[in-house]
Amino acid sequence: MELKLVNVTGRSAVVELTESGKYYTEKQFEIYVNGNKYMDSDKVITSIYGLNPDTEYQISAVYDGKNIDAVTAKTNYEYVTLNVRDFGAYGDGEHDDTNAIQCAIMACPKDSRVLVPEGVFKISSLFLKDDLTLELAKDAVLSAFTEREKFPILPGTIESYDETKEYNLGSWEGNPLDTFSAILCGINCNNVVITGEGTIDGCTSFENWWDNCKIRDIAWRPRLFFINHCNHVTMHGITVQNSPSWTIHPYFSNHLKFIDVKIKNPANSHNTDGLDPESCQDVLVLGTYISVGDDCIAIKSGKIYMAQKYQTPTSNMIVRQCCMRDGHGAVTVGSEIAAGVKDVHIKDCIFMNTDRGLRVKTRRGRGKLSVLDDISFENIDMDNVMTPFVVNSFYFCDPDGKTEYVGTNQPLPVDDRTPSIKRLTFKDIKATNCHVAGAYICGLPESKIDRLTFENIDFDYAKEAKSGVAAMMLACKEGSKQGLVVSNINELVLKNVNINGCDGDAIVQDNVDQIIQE
Amino acid sequence: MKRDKELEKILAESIKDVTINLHESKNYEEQIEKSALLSASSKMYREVKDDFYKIFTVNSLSAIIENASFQEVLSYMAGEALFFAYDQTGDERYKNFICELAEKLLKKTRNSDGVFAGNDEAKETDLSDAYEKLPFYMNYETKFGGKEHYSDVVKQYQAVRAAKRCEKCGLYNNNSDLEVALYMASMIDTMEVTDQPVYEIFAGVKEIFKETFAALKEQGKLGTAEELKEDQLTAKLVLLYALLKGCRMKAILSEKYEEELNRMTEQAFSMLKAQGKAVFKNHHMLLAATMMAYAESIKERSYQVYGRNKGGAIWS
Repeated sequence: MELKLVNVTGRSAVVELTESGKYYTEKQFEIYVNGNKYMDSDKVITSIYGLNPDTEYQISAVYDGKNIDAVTAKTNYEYVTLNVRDFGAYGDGEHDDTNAIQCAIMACPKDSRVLVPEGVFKISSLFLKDDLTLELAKDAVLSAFTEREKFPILPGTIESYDETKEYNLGSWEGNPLDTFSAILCGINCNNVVITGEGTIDGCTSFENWWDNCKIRDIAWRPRLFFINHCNHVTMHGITVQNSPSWTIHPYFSNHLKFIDVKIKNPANSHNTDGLDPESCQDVLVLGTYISVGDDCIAIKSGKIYMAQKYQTPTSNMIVRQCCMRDGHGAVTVGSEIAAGVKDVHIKDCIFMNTDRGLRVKTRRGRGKLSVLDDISFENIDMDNVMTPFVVNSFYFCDPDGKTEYVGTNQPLPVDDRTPSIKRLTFKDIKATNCHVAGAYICGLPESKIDRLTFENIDFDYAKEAKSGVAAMMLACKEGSKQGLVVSNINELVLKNVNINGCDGDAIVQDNVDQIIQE
Repeated sequence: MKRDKELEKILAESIKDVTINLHESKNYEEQIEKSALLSASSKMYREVKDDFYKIFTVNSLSAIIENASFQEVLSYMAGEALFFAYDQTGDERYKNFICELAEKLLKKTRNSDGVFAGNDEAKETDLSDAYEKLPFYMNYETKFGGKEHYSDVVKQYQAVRAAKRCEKCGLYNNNSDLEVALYMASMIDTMEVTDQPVYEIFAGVKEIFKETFAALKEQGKLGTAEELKEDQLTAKLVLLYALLKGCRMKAILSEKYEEELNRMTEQAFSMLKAQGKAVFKNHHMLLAATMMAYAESIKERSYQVYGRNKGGAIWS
């Protein structure tokens, strides 16, 4: 067990107490800064605030009576602080502070920070820029207006003058469509840090953005945070809540970090996914808490138009020490994955009360570029998850989702529309209080899942297990306490898989070429 | 463009002289003309709000649906007017008729290219296979059909393109200017009623629209306001309708083309006004084309107005 420094800004540091638990530490422990007690913590990833710029700190811990060696944190140099109140922001929960805060952002020089101090600052959309640190102090709230006429629109596409190219700004569910700009928005920005103990509140309710939310009204609903073609962006510490639609939507952006972020939307809110990286590379999600009304994390790469045009998968993504709860899926891949997803690893996390743990959603028609490969889950605790593992290759989304083409169990010819799933690995996972099934895995008969590995997995069922539909596909019937229901797989590896208390056969398989059991 | 009261008066007087006796269409051209008139009349009502156009459209269609032996081409091509009549009246007869038509359409024999071929599998694909049926087909799929056959609509356009387009020059050399114009109009009308989330379908039709426009431009087929001739006006006005709508829907660049298109449209209207109402007597297709182009030309084009009205043509 040791302390590791995982992030530092001009005014904060983030440490990880290794081998101490998953998201929460097994025991509460003490954190010391320069020998003085800073706080008690029960989290593996802990943020320390109120530091001074360009200063060295010794951060240590005492866990279960034992001293944990200090780690040295040198905070970043800071030139100036631009307090938004000095730019005319009221922070009284009434005045429109958008212009004042935007002024501070645009005026912020390199190596400096824009500080939003304690107060409620009403805003519509704010736009980030290069080399910016935006800090939300404790009890600072960026509180969004909900009147849609206050929000600018990001056009879906703008054609180039020579008519050979297009410039894509707005995005809605995998397509380049007119969308209201996000509450916090970045377009073509580099080196941005959003940090602090404060909150961005979308203030959404069923009286505004969530009302009639499937219908486009002027433009599609805004995200809470949207970055388009940005690089080196870190979001740390803040709370984001009550989003109009997907909460955090990085889009064609790279080298991203989300550390100790809290993402909260009501469980009955519509399409309020927590974090949806779409066509992004090098993404770290660390120590983040997500409780939302749809998928907690949904990994995407666009629908077929964007995939064919830009061929940009989401890849090189790590999710560690996170808590996902209450949503539809804890970690979902899809359904907009027409450009593929690869090299994604989820480790050391806890999932609670979600409908599904890992959820893969795909279907015929996503296209041959839709290749899912090298996706792993390791060292995860799931509790009260209806069905821990779901891979659904017949997801009945989109207008033709319930047609014969999408839903048939018969093998169809492999063509340009056929997606594929290569390697999925699940290791060292404990799933307690399962309800519907341990796993419901369906590849396509004409394009089977290459290799599916379950290693050191324990499934236990709830005493009063609820019934439900494991996967949103036409052929899936309601059930309860099913074991592993698997179909259309080339190689299924089962090493030390314990299924305790299911009804019926532990493994129900169809069209699985090879089962390797140890 | 601003409203032209003089032209509106001529158009209103001209259409008052028209009766759509559907059971008595003498030939295919007459069916096309009558269909175009009904659709154009619905467009005029939307822009000028003269009740006469609404009554004309609704009453004409009412007679269609009450007559068992409807004329197929007329019905499909009057698709926009059928949906308009349903929107305006809420009369379920129009919806039922639309659904029956769609059912008949889906059961049609297809030829070897996969397009609807009527009763003749050996029928060669032509541009008419697009402009007769596809806007109606897409509109039906969007509003009542569950969008199940969206990909079929774009495949039909692709089949027509493959069969009729000259690979070398990009034009449709074996078709008349009017047929090409109606084909362009059908594509932009289809795009207008395609549901946004199925973007690849919209993009598929848009690609053919842009490609055809580029070929017309490069081969000098568009012409200028100064080059307009009277015997070209029908085809030209249908084409101007399609291209102005293409600018509005951002299928082609407004900045580059809209000004000249507006000049051509104004010139065309001047030429017609100079002849008065007589120019439209027994020239129903010219009347329809003028109404289509006029209604599109006076449409509010700034996003803040039409984009901010729910359900408008607000494509990007």
